[in-house]
Amino acid sequence: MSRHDLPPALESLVRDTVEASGLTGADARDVAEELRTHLRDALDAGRSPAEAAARFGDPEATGARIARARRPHPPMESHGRRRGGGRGMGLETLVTELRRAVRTLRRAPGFAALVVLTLALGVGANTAVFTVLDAVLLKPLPYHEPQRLVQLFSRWGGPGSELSEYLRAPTIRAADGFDDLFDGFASIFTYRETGRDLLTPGAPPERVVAGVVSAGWFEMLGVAPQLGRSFRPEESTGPGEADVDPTPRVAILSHGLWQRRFGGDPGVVGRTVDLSDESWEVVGVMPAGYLDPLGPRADLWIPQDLRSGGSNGWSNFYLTGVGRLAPGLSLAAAQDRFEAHWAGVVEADPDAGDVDLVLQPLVASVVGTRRASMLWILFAAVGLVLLSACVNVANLVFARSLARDRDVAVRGALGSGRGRLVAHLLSESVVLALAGGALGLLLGWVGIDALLRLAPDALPSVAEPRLSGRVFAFSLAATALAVVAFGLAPALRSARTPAAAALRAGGRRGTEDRRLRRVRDGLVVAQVAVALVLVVGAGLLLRSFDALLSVPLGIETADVLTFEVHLPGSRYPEGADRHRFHTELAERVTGLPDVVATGSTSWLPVNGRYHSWGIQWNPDGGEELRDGAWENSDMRIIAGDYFGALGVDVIRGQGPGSVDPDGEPVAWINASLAAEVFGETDPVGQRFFAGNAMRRIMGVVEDVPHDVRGDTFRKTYLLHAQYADNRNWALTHVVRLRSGADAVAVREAIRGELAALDPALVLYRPRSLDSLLDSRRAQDRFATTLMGVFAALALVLALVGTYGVLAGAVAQRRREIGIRMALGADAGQVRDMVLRSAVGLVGAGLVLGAVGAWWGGRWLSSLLFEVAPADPAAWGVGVGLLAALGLLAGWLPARRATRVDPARTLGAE
Amino acid sequence: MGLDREWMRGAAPLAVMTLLAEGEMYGYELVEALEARSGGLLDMGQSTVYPLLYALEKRGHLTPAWRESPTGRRRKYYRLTPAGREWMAEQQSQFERLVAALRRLGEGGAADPEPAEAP
Repeated sequence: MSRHDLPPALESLVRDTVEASGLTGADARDVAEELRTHLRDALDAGRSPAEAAARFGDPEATGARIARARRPHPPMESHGRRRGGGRGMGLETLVTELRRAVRTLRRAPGFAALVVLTLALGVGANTAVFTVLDAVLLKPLPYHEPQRLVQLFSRWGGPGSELSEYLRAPTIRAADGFDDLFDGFASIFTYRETGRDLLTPGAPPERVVAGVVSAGWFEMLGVAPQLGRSFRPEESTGPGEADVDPTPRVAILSHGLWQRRFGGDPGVVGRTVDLSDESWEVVGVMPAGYLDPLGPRADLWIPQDLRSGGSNGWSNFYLTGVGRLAPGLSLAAAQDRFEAHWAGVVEADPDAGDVDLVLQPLVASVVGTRRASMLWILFAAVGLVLLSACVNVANLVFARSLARDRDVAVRGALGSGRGRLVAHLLSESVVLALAGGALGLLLGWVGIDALLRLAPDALPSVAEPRLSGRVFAFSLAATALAVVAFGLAPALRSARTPAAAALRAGGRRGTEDRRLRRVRDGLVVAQVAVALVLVVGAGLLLRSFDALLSVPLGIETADVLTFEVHLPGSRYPEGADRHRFHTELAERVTGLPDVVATGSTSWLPVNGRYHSWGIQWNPDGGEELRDGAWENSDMRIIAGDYFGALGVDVIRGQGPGSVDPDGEPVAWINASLAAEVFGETDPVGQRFFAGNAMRRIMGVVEDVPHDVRGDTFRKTYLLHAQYADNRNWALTHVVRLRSGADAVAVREAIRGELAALDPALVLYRPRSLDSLLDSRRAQDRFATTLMGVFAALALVLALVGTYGVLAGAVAQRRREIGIRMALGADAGQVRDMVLRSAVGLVGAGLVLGAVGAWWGGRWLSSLLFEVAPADPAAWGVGVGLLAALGLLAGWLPARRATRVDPARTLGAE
Repeated sequence: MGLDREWMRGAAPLAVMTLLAEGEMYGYELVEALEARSGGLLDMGQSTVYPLLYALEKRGHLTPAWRESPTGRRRKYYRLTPAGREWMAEQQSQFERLVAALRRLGEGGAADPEPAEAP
């Protein structure tokens, strides 16, 4: 006869007793076998398992007595305290209880694994998302007293209008003089093409990103160079006139560049380096980990020329301004004081007054409001996953505590104190929660890595998420919460269960049972509700992302390769030289196999607004410029067959290919500009003022969006051939390949052509247009992917929870089902009974979840693109999925119920 | 109405040994016999019987042996050792003397409302 013949409750009595005795090996087996034989004999003699258990006595006390009887030196702990019912719960008791709990759980590996895994998933996902949230939103910016840092914005069009980061050089100078307002005010160059080609002997030229900052930038942030010095005031505002007198050529290296290109040599300070064929003196090195709050990730910094004259007048908006408020100054007070000072500036110089200036906390610019709401929403979502995980665990523990009720009741009846019982049950939860928390922390660690890999472009550059003590504390707190949530309630409930009720034959306790079932039902309802919220949320984001992918961009993005080439002003001083170079390069590239068309532009589509300038058109044909008649338009400088390479259609007039660039100045405009500025008038052939000259409009092209959401703005296209002298344009070449061509091979061939033309130049940022689009969609993809993962987790948890409760209910109601079947109910009716309760639970969960999802959807709407929070598809799929899941979870227990054999069930009583 | 804990503790070893003196028995049999033949007075659960058996075994009064019972179930049978037999005889004699002494004490003062003073 096998030992498995004993009912589980009796088997557990035997095991607990042997464990409490501390015996091992053959001794333990001997005692266990003897006790089992005894219980089998009792059952054979007609005693019920309950009676057999009641007569067995308290396993702990018995185990202790056996230990005293069989072992030469009984363990100290088994004296007194055990018999006394455990009023005192010292550390010793705690350790004993925890050790016991580990032993007990080892005997239920399936249960333990399920609970630990469920908790780990919840805690792990929480840790990962919280780490990112912490790094991006909660941790202060990595500068001295960052709450005092503000950014100054321009605003055209009164309160509520959009803020623009662009400021003018005189504004920066003036603000830096408001000494009672700012402890330092400085600027960083707003435009993004601030690279230089770094040439060091024996290494290929490297394109490095230069941060152009005014003197005082680092002091304002409260960061000092690790080596050397920062910029001196005269290096920004020294004698002479901007654009006329030379500026000091001094540079500060980033820690990364210093290590990478100079081997971390401390002697680098004072040396000169070759930047785009000019000699610059290295005056300092910034510490490791320093990052500018705004702007691109710089490899080195050079001083911004803030001297008056030249391009530093009141009409040139090109700088971003950041200041440190004087201590104790609130934002509102600072704004008031700023306006008071500014009124004085405008009085002295009326040109200054055509724009409002607004202060905002710097952190808002660094994080971005949309990104902040995305992270909070994801955090709420992952919190729901943890909640669902805890509910699931509570359910599992409830089920287990039900199965052990009688065991607990016996102990209670035999005099174990209530505190001891609670400790006993709670200790199991503590062990589970600790294991789940630890594994969760590990998963979180892996998860952070995965998140960062998923979204290099979705997070601000200044945030460097690292698993910190704060995150660990959070994870631990979440785990502790889970312990309380799922551990204490069942423990108290079990300890409260009257022993007599638990011991009554068959373990059926009407009122208690119903109450317990209601609690478990409630948990399932909550789980289904949480799952619906997450599934609908994920559905909405998925629909939104789908809409994003299908935005008509007006360009053909497949098989397009782009790269930049920057020409050093020292070797290509004249616009004509630079244009000749770009033309020659384009001709060579066009001659390569697999290349269909080439062109170039000053700024790619879908890459944000850039170079927003004013244009003027006089419907009367006059060519005099008038005050206040400016219209805004983004400027794009193009060369070659740019429209053809991108697939932009010329919808009226002619394309650039048939225009003689040596003739009169010309321009093309997009459909938006044509409609909004020219209205009914046909713009083709009209002359307007754009790019510092009167130009004739040769054609109208279709709109091309400047972001992946399909937003478009007015655009004016000028020919590089006619405008190369304006500045050293950083042209991005656009190469259309034959469909299916090997882009890597073409890229390498282009590299060869470039080296043949000028070996000191860098093929900078070669990438496909599709990869640019991908990076612009990173934030949306990030949110969608995470929400999808969370929803999937919640679905699985809800499935497990619903199944567990229904299966448990069927097991509990075997007798009732047996009676019903004995009284003539057929299998179909029994199955329907179980399925009805499944439908009831899932239905209630769906109703509750619908309320939550409706509320959450409104919150989510800030992230949604062309999808309403009430989107029928997302809701339909969500509700359908959960309903199907409910039926699935109900089906198996229902089938099991129909197999209940009335004769055997009732006979067993 | 059962025995007080202290009485039980004193009587249990002798009770078990007395039954085993008639022949070997296994634990369950012993528990049942104790209850039945003492009219319920010496009703002991496993929590008492097995520790007691192990203690007696450790002292060398009993010797156990696993054997298949007539029903085919393997059981652990206990029997007295010669030393156990001696010890039991000694205990029984002590017990009888104790009971006799207590009885004499009782006979002397059973009719008196007040306890008798020592003569």
